[in-house]
Amino acid sequence: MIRIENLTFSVGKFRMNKLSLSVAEGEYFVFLGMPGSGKTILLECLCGLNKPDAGKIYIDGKDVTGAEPRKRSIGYVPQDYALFPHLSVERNISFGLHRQGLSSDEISSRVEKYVSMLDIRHLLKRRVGGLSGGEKQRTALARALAIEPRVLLLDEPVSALDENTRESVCMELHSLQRELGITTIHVSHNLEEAFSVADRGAVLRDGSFEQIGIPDQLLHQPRNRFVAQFMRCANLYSGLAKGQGSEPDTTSVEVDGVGIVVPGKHHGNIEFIIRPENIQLQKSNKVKTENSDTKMPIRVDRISNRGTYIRLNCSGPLPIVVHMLHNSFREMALSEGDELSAVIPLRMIHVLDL
Amino acid sequence: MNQDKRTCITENVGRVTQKLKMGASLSLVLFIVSAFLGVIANVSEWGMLTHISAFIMWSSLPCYFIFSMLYISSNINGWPGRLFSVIIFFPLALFISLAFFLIITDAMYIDKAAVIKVLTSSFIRDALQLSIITSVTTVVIALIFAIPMGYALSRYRFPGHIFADTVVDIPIVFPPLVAGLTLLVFFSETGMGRWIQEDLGLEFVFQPRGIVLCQFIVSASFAIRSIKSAFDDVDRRLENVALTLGCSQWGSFFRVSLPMASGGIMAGAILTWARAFGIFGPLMILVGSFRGRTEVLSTTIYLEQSVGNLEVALAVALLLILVAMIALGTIRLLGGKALVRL
Repeated sequence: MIRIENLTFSVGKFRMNKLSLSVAEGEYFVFLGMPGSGKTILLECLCGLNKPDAGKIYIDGKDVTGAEPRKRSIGYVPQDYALFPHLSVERNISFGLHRQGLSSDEISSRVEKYVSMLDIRHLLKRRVGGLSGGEKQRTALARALAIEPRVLLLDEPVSALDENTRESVCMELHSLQRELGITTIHVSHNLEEAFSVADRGAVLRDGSFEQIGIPDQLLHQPRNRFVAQFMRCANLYSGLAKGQGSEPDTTSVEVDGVGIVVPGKHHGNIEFIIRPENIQLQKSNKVKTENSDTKMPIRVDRISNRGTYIRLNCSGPLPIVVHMLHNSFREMALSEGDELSAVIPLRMIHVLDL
Repeated sequence: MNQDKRTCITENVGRVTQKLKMGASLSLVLFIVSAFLGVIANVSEWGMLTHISAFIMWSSLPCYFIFSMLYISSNINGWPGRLFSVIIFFPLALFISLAFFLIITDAMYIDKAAVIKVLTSSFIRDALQLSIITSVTTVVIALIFAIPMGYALSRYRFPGHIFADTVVDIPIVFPPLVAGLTLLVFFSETGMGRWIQEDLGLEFVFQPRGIVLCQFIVSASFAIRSIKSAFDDVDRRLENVALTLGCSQWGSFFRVSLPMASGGIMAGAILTWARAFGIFGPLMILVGSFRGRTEVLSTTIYLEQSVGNLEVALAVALLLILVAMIALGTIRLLGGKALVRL
């Protein structure tokens, strides 16, 4: 549906280098990245607002690299929505329809369709100035959808909303996208937001893709240190491969004098991660574990409540961060200073590509 | 009990505030009415009424400021805050008083004969007409230049755009008289100027056309400045969205940027017109002041005072101020929220 080939664009000191990507029809794709990573610039290239230095953009099989924005069949919702302040909500939504030269009957039925879909009929006669964040967001979405584009491009569509609205709007965005089956690209810097909507995503840094994949891959199998850190994985270790581990297709690695068995065959220096939520804690030392699992004694240094989970900063042979759900935390009745053992299942260790 | 007391105090304070506000409004109305009455009485040579009006006028103005100041500070908690507002307000009061004082001085100086002369002389009617025609033409031409220029300066980043931005301001700092002198030298001494005047047949020197040219040179910068800042305030993303919604670059300009900048454009037009209407230095040099041909109100004032008709000169000046105030007032009313911003 959307295909980018070797897209190159530079502005000031920023340089976007030879990006290639392909988004399938009906897919919900998320560009993830820190501010300044180039995700908005990439989106604007797709819109036709930036003229790329080299490379090609195809939408729906057509080469649109040099096409005007209006010829690309895109619906664009910029950051902060950019509603036209001099027009009413109704005129905002029908703005694109008037440009398409539709009859007034067609326009009103089209407006009606999308205002009822987004539940904003009561706002039609209002001016844009007095709308709340959520109302503005819906109006902007209705305006972009009303022209029935093939592709929907959303630039940080929910980051201006408060926490609660954001969650419900994300769910709504997702179901709306499913209902319309419209190919959507969504730019975001927020992990929860991205994971709640995305079919697939790309992590951007300094104008290049660090990794492209489904959310689960990005989370559990980050390709490199940057993606792992971006996915907020605190347990990142580097060590030296010492030869085969206790089982075939494993490698024994020495990290700061501690031996850990990791999956796969490796040589030399390697880096690996352990997701904090995949570590099991046990109070007694005598619990049976499988051979390949790594087991180490640890001490709970700090307990902090992060709202949806509990974060434990532990020390031991290696510093380690563990995330626990509230109910298991309560069951174990942990407190700071407790001595425990941590069990790390072999398959929960992921070795990074170097 | 305590609660009751507090409500009572709040209500009292509210009532006092309301009274102060009403006092300020009343004094302002009184001032304006007595000023008008005073001017009319003076021109009609009713000595007694003039004195009474003048007395009311000069006593209601300070009352207006005192009431306004008390009204403002009644909404502020704490003495440092009140003192701050009073000190901030004081220059405003002083400046307004000064402006009114000057206008009233003019108005009190003129006599019946001067007013009759101004109202009946055909040359003054001609000058007024020419003033209005030339200044409006100037505004139209200035807008034709300033809207694209303001947009270009606001949106495009080209090598030397800071230089271009600075050059636009030069006519503001240029003494108007020098502008006229330069134009005269240009048209009479340079090849290009002579070519325009003689070969092209576009004569500016001693022609009404020259008036518009002078006015344009000294006043267009105000429009450009104001319109540029109006376009600066139009978020680029709005234009971008319009582009994706089916507008061409032209469409997004006319449907989004221009309507949104209309306030600033109106303000620019007002500033340009006010400057063009009142300018006189360069006109005296480039086009002279020929009765019935190139004489505008501002040059009439100069001519009249130079032959000693101080009363007539001031009466014409009042006419100029009156026309300007009517025009500005009308535009403000029509333009709604079109505020003058620089």
